[in-house]
Amino acid sequence: MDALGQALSLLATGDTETWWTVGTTIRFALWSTLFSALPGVPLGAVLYLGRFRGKRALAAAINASMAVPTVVIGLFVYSFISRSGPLGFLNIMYEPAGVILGQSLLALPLAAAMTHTGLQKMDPRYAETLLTLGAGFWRRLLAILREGRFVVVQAVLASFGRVTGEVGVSMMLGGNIRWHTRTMTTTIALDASKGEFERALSLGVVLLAVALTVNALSHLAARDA
Amino acid sequence: MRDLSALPENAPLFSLRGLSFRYGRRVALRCDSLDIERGQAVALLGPNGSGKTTFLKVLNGLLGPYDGTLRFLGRSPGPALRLRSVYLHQHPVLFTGTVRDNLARALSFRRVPRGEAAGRVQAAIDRVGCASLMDREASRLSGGETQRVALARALALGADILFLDEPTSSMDAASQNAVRSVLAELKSEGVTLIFSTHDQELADALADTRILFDAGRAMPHPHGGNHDTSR
Repeated sequence: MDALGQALSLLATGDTETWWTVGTTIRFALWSTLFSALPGVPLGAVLYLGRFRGKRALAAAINASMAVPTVVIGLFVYSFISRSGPLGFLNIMYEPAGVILGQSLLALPLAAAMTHTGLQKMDPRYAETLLTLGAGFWRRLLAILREGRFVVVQAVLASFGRVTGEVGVSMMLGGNIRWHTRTMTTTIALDASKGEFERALSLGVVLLAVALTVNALSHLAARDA
Repeated sequence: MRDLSALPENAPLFSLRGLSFRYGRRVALRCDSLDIERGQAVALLGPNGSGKTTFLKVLNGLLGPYDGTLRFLGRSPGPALRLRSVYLHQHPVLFTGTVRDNLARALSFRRVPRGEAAGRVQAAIDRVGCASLMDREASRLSGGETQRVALARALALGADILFLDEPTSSMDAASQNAVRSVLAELKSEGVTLIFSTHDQELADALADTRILFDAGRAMPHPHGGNHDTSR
């Protein structure tokens, strides 16, 4: 109970390092959510509207890739951006950009799959109406995303929640460098391993609050849909 | 939009031979042989679930693939049919925005210039008697109003061919009369109307040809006369 009290005190007194870590995590998550949603949401809509060979296989592959452990994504990106990798010249290993790249790849299949399955639950008359009105593919895609905007909101929120709570990518690609790439989850992992639970608990409380907020917003979007 | 002169003169508008469509293993539509000529008003009659909507959707290209042959002016249906036809659901959906937005967006899909679109939107909405609804949110319209606005949306596009799934089903008597007279005008202008209905008055007033549906089988009516649609 003492540790919890001290953890809450860290938050209440505005402890600089704790709140810096929270801010960094949110900043990384916002960028990676953006970079995953930009291709992921249209990809989900293409899967919904498109009629092409291999569509089912692509949807299955996207669904399967959601289950890939975060450390495997981290390892995959590591092999590309490490100094000896093909993208080593970018010098983004152990940099915020590296973490954001890994997190974006982690959330991309989630954004695509959630958009796809969400649109599948929409009234099929929308897609039929767009088709019969003569809208071309890209106009149909934009229109269906507009009509299914609550689906998009849910997909984006889920992506945000996913990257906020992940640890493998941040640890492998960010290196958990203090005042540079340290996020809430990597701080929790480090502090807990050292037996220092105050900051870990305080960040756990923030992570829980983020998760609950994302969940509540997602439910609101579903209700409005 | 209503100029079909560039397409083969002698071919029927639609020609169906040995056509069948399945939902999974269930045969939902069978049609041995049927021609529909341009400018005709064709009533599709039969009980609920007998294949009328499936027929309309297959003809319009919303459902496929199918077995057998379907020809549009002697060719495979393709973009030409898409650009010349509109299908109206029994319970149409309108998009987010006002009635005006809905009509204007439909015209933008077909790349009608904005200057021309405004006039077409107004003319179409006037024609179905819904001018007072122009700036109403589409989501707040009643079922009958939605059907009329959806019809206006099709009219604004200037389609040659209208596929109408029970076009008067959600309407009060006054609205039904208004829509009947609009459809009669369209017929007199040479628009091909293919519509499913349980509305005997509508079928009597418009239909040149009747197609009877029973358990998925489409059969041209042997006499083209009145038919009991109340089953």
